[in-house]
This record gives sequence, structure tokens and C-alpha cells, in this order.
Amino acid sequence: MTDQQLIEGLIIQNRNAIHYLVANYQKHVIKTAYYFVSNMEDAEDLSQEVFIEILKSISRFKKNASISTWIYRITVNKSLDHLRRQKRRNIIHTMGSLFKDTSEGTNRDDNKLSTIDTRIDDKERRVILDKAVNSLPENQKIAFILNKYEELADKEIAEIMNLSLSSVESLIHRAKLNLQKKLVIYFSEYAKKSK
Amino acid sequence: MDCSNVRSNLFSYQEKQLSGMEYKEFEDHLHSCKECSLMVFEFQFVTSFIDEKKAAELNPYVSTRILQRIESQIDDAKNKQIPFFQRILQPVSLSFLLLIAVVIGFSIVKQKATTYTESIIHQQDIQAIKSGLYIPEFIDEDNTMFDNHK
Repeated sequence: MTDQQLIEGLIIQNRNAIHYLVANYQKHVIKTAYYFVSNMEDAEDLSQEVFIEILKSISRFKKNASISTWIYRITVNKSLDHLRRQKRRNIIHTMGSLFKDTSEGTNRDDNKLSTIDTRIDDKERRVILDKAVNSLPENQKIAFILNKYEELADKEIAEIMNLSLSSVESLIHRAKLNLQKKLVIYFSEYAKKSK
Repeated sequence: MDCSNVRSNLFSYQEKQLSGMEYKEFEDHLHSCKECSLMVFEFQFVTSFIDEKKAAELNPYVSTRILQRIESQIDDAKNKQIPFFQRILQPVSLSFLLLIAVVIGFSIVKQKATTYTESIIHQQDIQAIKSGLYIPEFIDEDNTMFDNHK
């Protein structure tokens, strides 16, 4: 099925076209969402939202553009929306816990510190990496994830992000510099603590 | 190459983007500096989780879930697409038919009641004529008339 046939099929909500769309793009959609949200269940839920959005807005899709690029764009936007919602929830949760028993909070922090002091395990390494990637500025994060995790070409990333090729190259470069800086700071602090 | 150069070239080293000379200097520094050597080791360890994430397996039933959700959304959308006038016209026409049925029912009952009243009036007239003519009621005193029927 060509892109053109797929688009026409999706506009009339043809069953075969929908099945083709899901079969061919679900892996990219779920994995891209997973790289952003770091949770497979959330990524699967997001993929459902992405496919619904594709069907809703397929009539507005410009036929001269690449459908794959458009799907990536929707996935990235949905994932970022999810992260924003999560951040908002975390802020509310943190504010709520401030009004709870403060002594309980202090104990929890002590425990957290003691685990950092004792050893750095794989689980923690994963968290360190996710936190470092998520703390990047939004555009750097998108460019870095699409380049390093999804292994897309810079040109395709430029189309997805609606930016020039040189801007994307610069974003990826700055993302890597920022990321290694953040990781170096973390490792230095860890080395000081373990001494 | 010093420590700060090593720490700002971690990705370049990992992705083999350093020139031959830079690569050699980088490696030489790692042999002489334990701290940088540990730093590079940790960096490579942490970033190896990028590959782990890339290798994550997908749930084999996820496509079924996606398709089910899409189909239920399409059904919902179709239900919403029923034209407004149809949504209004249907109950209105049903109410109208019900009203007509009630009216017809009333008129039939009314008609039957009129016929019954008319028959009563007719019987009363016969009685009046009978009394006027002085026709005595027939009395079968010896029950001879209906014997055969018993």
C-alpha cells in the first residue's frame, strides 16, 4: 500500500487501511513514546492516543508531506504533553506532601542518601540517564532522542521538528555536551560521597 | 589531553568521532588518570542503557488493544454523526403517532357510547308506544312455548 492509498483509506476509515497503519507504525510510535516517557505501559496508552489523533486529523494532512514524519510529530507532541501532565502532577503531589508530617519526609530523605552512599546500581544508573535526558531543554531532548534512540537521520529530524538541518545538528551537539556535563557532575558528586 | 578535555569529549570518544591523534591522547590520559578512567567507565555504563531501552520488547497484544480502541472510537463518532433533525424528528414523529392513536382510541370509545345511548333511547320509545297501545306482556303461564327447548 502506497502512502497515498493509505491516506485515502484512512480518510474513509477503511478497515484494511487502519490495520495497515497500526501494523506498520505501532513499533515506531510505541518505542518513540517509550524513549520519552520511560514507561512501557504509558507508551502503549500514548500510542492509542496517537493513532486516534491520526484518524481524527488525517483529512487535514498535507498530501505532499511524508506520513511517517507526520506520525513522528504527533507521537513527540503527545509524549511531551504526557511529560508536562506528569510534571504538573508531581508538583501537586510535592506540594501536598509539604503539608504532611515533616518528620516522615526527613526520614525518607535520610534513607535516600544512604542508598546513594552505599552503591550505585543498574536501576539507579537508568534513573540517572532518564533524569539527565529529561532535564535537557525540550528541543535538545527531542533532537537527542530521535537521533540517539530512534536513530533517525538529521534531515528527517529537521522535518519532524520543522527546523533547518543546521539547527538540528546544533541541537544534537548541544544536547550531547549538556548531557555529558550533567553526567560528569553526577559522577564527581558520587565519587566524593563514596570516598 | 587533560581531565577537562576528556570530560568534554565523552560522546565523541564513545562514538569514535575523535581523530587518530585525539583518540591516542584520550587513551593515554585514561591510562595515567584513574579518576577520568572511572568517569569514562561510568559514562559508558550509563549510556549503555540507551541500547537497553532500544532493545525493549513490545507487548504482542498491543495491536489488538489499539485496533479495539480505534473501532470503539469510530463507532462513537458514527453515533454522534446522526443528523440533528433526525435525532429530533424521530421522537417527535413517535409522539405524534402516539397522539393520533390516543385520539382514534377516544373517538372509537365515544362512537360506541353514542350507539349504546341511542339503543337505550330506542328501547324507551318502544316501551312508550307499547304502554300507549296497551299491549300486555306475553306470559307463558303453562310453559308450553319453551318446553321443547328445555
